[in-house]
Amino acid sequence: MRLQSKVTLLIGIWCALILFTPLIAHLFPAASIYLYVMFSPLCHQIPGRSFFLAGIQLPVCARCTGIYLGGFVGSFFVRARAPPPWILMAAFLPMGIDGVTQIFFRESTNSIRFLTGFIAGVAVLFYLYPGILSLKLKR
Amino acid sequence: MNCQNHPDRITFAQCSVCGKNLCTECAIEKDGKYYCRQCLGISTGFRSASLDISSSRLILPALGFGLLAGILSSVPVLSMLNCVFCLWVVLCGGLAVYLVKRRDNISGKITSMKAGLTGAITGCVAGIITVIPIILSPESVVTAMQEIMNQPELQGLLEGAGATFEESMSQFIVLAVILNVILFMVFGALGGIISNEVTK
Repeated sequence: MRLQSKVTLLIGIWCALILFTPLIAHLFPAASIYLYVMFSPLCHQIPGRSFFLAGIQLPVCARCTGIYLGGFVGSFFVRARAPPPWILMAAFLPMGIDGVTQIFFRESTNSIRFLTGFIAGVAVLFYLYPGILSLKLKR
Repeated sequence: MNCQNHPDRITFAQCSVCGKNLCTECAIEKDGKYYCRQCLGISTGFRSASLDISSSRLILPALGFGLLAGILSSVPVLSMLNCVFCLWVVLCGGLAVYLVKRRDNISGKITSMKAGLTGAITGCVAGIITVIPIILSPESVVTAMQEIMNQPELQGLLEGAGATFEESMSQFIVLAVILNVILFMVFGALGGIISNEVTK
């Protein structure tokens, strides 16, 4: 299996854990608690800032869901060479603006949180993949 | 057979990737094999080989930034920024790698293994610091999870299955402590690897 496929698979499993938590809660309620605990170090898990599927909250907030799904989508398009650093900064800018302004001026929405997280998640993979590739090549 | 870049020089080695004839100046040895500059760059996507530095050079920056990430991740309001792709851990892992490179005046890249290791140590230190409050006050895990567990739909499912968060609390606390350290190590390593790419 190609390295890119392995990376995609790994992120896909991570995203599946997030998206299937409501399903797991319906099938094996006790097991879902483990998933909520597992994701708790990575996310505030505030219900008002999270998506719900079938009435059950996802284990991470809308922004984190966007970041990880963005990473999954980005993993399909990665290249061996990392783009210039300014692209990473530009991709994080909408998320930064949304995150900071919602503290002081306005209330953001889950759609905006998801979208800005998604853009950042896609960009991160373009910098992460070359590093993982060189890990494989032991360089 | 002469060097393809320098026709006046005899061949010293052949590139292991493209088979090009190379003189002593053009042949680059790596792990007992010889490569031309183009193949070292093209095959990996980088302009030059990465520098393998001593592990002892990583420790101090990793510990310092690990401490910083741990403190920032433990301060109530600031810790919420960890929600953004584990920001403090990724950022401090990245800064630790940057500092390692600055200390040794490395303008290119260090090996991804060392960059990941630096970030992982940073994340490990941060993880250990952030679990101290959980170990000292295990009830904080229950309080943090209460809002989720009290949601009617989930509560109904849990009651139906006869499962409660409180009855397995000790298991969840151990799980939270272990996962906190492991996930912080992973995200710290990711920060180190990304920083190594961005600051090359």
